[in-house]
Amino acid sequence: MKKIIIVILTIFLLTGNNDYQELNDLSIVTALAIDYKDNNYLISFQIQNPNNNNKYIIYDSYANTIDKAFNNVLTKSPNKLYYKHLEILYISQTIAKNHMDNIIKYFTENNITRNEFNILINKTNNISTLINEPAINIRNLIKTNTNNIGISQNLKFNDLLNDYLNPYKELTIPSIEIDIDTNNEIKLSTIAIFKNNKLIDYLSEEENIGLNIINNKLATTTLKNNCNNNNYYVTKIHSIKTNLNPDLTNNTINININGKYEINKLNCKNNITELQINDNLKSIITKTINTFKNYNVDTINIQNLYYKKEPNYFKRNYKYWYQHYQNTKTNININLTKDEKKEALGGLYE
Amino acid sequence: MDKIINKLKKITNNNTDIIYRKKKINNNQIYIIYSESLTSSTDISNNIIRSLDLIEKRYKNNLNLYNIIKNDITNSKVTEINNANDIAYYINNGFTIILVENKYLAFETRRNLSRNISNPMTETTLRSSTDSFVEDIQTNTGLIKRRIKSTNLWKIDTTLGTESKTNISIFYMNNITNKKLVKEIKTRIEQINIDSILSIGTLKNLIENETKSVFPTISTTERPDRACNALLEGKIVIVIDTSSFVLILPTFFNDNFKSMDDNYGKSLNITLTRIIRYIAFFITILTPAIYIALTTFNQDILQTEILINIAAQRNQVPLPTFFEALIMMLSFEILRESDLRIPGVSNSALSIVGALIIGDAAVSAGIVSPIMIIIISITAITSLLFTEPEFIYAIRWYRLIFMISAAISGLIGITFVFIYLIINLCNLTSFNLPYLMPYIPTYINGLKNSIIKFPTKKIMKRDIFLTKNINRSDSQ
Repeated sequence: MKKIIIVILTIFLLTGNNDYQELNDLSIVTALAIDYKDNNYLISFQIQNPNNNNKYIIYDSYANTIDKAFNNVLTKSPNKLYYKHLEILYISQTIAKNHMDNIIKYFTENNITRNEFNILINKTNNISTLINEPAINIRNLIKTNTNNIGISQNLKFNDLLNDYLNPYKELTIPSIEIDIDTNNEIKLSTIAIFKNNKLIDYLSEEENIGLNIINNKLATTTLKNNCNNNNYYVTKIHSIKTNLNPDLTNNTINININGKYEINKLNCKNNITELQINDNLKSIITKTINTFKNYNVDTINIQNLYYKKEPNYFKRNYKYWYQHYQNTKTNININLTKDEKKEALGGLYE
Repeated sequence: MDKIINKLKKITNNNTDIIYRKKKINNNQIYIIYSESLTSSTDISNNIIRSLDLIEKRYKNNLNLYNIIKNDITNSKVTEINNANDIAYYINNGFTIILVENKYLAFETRRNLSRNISNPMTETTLRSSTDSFVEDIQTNTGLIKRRIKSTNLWKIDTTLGTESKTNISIFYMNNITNKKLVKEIKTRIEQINIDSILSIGTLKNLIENETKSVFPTISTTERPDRACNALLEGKIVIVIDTSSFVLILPTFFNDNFKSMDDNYGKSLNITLTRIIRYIAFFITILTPAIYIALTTFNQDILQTEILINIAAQRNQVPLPTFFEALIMMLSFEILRESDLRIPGVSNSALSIVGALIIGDAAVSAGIVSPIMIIIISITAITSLLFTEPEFIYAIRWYRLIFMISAAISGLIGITFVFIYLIINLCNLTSFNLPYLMPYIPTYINGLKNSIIKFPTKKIMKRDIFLTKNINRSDSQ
């Protein structure tokens, strides 16, 4: 009997777990869109409709602080809002340019969400279309994209927070846009690059692939290469493994990329050598690195690599990093080999 | 002689059931006394009366009629009675008493009052033998001896109950079973002082000391093969007259997960079956509690899609999840209990009503959510994997405790009760032997036939906790 009493008492007194809430009293928020207009934060809530799985209830709320905007929604919603299942957070370009600190602070300090939701920059500022799209679809879209094409990035809030707190890292956030050409469909767009937590610009698709390859986050991708007279050939690259070796004394970073490729020649009748394919990828990587240098932003986090390798040396010699950044040399080494297993025997022309 | 007859008539209140037959053999008066309801009249006429007639013809000058009757009556079992007070006891046991020259002889002429050996009703198997114990102690002894022909199968006979005078046999293997255990059980049985033992359950409750835990430390079986298996492991089997179940003791936690079918399959297949049984144990004990915890406290653990589905289903249900689960659990237990009580003819009607009420109408009426039906069905089905009723009742208790703790403080509550369950099981002993054997204390040879089963060739050792004679291969 003593044992039972002790067990029951410990449950009540030591765990502090007493937030009982029935599912009926909760509204599950699956997506949030935050914008900043006329000195007000404008938040749209996508809430799962319990009566119909495919329809959503949308609430809008605004106030001059984020906290107030989050509280004001309770004047509209009959149930308590439950943010732990938030899947996507859309932030507008204004927010990305000027108010990133507030947003990250709000979500970390209030602890109302899990840290596992995706963040996307709303590139075309069309909140109503985005918020009506099921958040789970968008989440799966990002997942598929990062695995197969690599023009986006599967960025969870946790990763963003790590980058934000690391003084040697710059933020990158993927973006989403409305494709006006094709009947207002939603389309993943490229990564936005930040400097000092402020949005600078968006990358091109090719640069995006380059960045993902450097960061070792790309499993498979397809590259289109020019052959001759408007013809082109396609290489499918997979099993990519990237190694970054910083050399602090020479201010050089060695990039070693290993992987396999399959080739689809289509109308191109030229003989394409392995060297050509390797050079092609090399040019993409070089172009990406040069783009970052043009913006004077260290998006591939060379300073972080330096710091990790030899923190004391880094602190002594590269105290003001951006004075040294432009002089950084890169030594790119690419070793793609043909994947014989997946090659169709002969092909049409052989 | 008449004095004895009068005394008998007095203590039996002149019971019309008891027949007093006078007979004269060459001018010597004898009495044949028997109870009509307990004796077989053909046995009496064929063996006793006919023999007496032959004696009359053969011995004209009978000098010692008592010895002649004792030797010449063609009945298998004869007992001399020295005490006149024992006569009534023998009559009530189905003996025929012959009073001759103020001495008494008892001949066994018992009528067969029990049914034939039939199939087991509660412990069905796919391929194991299909005979089961009956209500007669002699038949049950026969069923055990038929399987173990060794002279090392010893038994202690005794009677219990001042009024019922029930015969009890304690079986054990002389060369295997721990003598301490036999002595312990013998003393526990000797200490019993009660008017009647009408069922094996009464005896079980009287000798079971471990009353604080809900888990069974003695198991009952109606299968002779299971009883013999236990005997050869070094356990003790208690058989009582008028009960078609026997007691096996001691019983451990792991025994509830074994079946006689396990001897037929390949070891790999049986291992998988045992793992499934263990999983089923945890499913049946934890599922409703985990559901309650996940839907009322720890919603963030679930995947978004699942939570949305559950929320959509629960939307119309007004009751709190805990009460919803409690109501469904209660209605299932009531259904199960009534299914046991009602006669077989109305079984199908009951299952239709039950399936309709639980399965369909309650959902359409918005009292319970469909997912709760799934939870309760899984719980119910998995609990039916176990044959020992006491074990099922124990599971039921813990399921309820888990549900309450989940309703109070979610997954943390479940964790605490789980710790308590483990402590309780570790603390429990069955006749001074650890209940969680062979897991705690760990014993390699025991583990070979626990959640995993090794090939029979490799299980050549008995449990060291039960017996000192651990070799199965040469156990002389």
